[in-house]
Amino acid sequence: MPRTRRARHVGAVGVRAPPLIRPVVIYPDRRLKTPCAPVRSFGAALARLARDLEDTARSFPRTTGIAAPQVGELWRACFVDCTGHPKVPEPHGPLVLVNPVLMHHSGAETGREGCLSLPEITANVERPVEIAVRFRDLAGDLREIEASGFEARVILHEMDHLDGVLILDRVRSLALDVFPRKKRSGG
Amino acid sequence: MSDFTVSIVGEDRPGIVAAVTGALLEAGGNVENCRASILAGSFAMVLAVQVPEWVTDHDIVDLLAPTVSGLGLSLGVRPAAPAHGDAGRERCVITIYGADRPGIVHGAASALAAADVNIVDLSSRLVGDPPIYVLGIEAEIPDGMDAGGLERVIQCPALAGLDMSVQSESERLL
Repeated sequence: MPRTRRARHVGAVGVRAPPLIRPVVIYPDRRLKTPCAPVRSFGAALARLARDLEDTARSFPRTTGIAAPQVGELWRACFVDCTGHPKVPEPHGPLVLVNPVLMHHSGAETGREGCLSLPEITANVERPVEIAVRFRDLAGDLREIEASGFEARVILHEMDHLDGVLILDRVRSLALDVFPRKKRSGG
Repeated sequence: MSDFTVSIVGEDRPGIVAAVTGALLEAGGNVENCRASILAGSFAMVLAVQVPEWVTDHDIVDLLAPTVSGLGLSLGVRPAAPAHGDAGRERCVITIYGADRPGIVHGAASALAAADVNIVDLSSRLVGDPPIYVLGIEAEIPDGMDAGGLERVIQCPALAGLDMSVQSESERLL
């Protein structure tokens, strides 16, 4: 039975289907530890996946990124959007990174990270401060961006997911760097 | 100055650290290094303490006796062992995690011992719901071994089905 579509405007792009929020895969689901396959086809299925990633990410407060394996799709694609985040004064805006490759990195900084797939913990993770990433967009065109600070951290966190790497694989000390997440009240 | 190791275990309650360090301070002790944690309901603490030369381990026990008996703690005091001579060995951080089951710590420690890998720091924790068992180990590896070799060491039958990663201290990034 076809779904009822309720169109809504999204910027200047036009109309789109209502949000489709997909269940987030939680560790120890093996899909989170499986390296993802490169995307070869830049068509409707990829666009649908990108929209699902965005809708799913936006359904969680303060979430700045999500990777395809977190919704059970083992493809090298992720969504990042640091718009409005206080630690990112000049964000790139919503980004869908397909087949991303780290081209350059410099500096190192430790910061606290959470993960939708490890919802009960946060962890201190050391990552580069400045990065350059080459990727393909939804049309398959090659792009390269530079990012720094928190936005670089988010991009690298999501890229880790594409290799089956979680924040637990990046901590330096279990005693000092892994923390139970504070319980959310209500809801 | 003399170096001693003081270990304290007891039911957790506020004031244990204050009472123990206060008694050590009375003996002219200086806490050089300390690790403490709550394990289940028990509070466990180990301190490396430097005291004046004339203070013996018996003096430290006597000094801590009122605190220990008052708070229902068990106490161990012994002269510090000399630092071992492998400070130049490369260190790696090992993280092993997955569904909890008996034998994870023993399996990892046995595999490491058999490969002459020295554990210098170890902690484990159950996190999340459903719980994930996470074991973190910092270890000194023997000459000739690298992070890849260490990874092969821990890929042993006792740890099958668990996720693990090895980070070399000399390759801190990516």
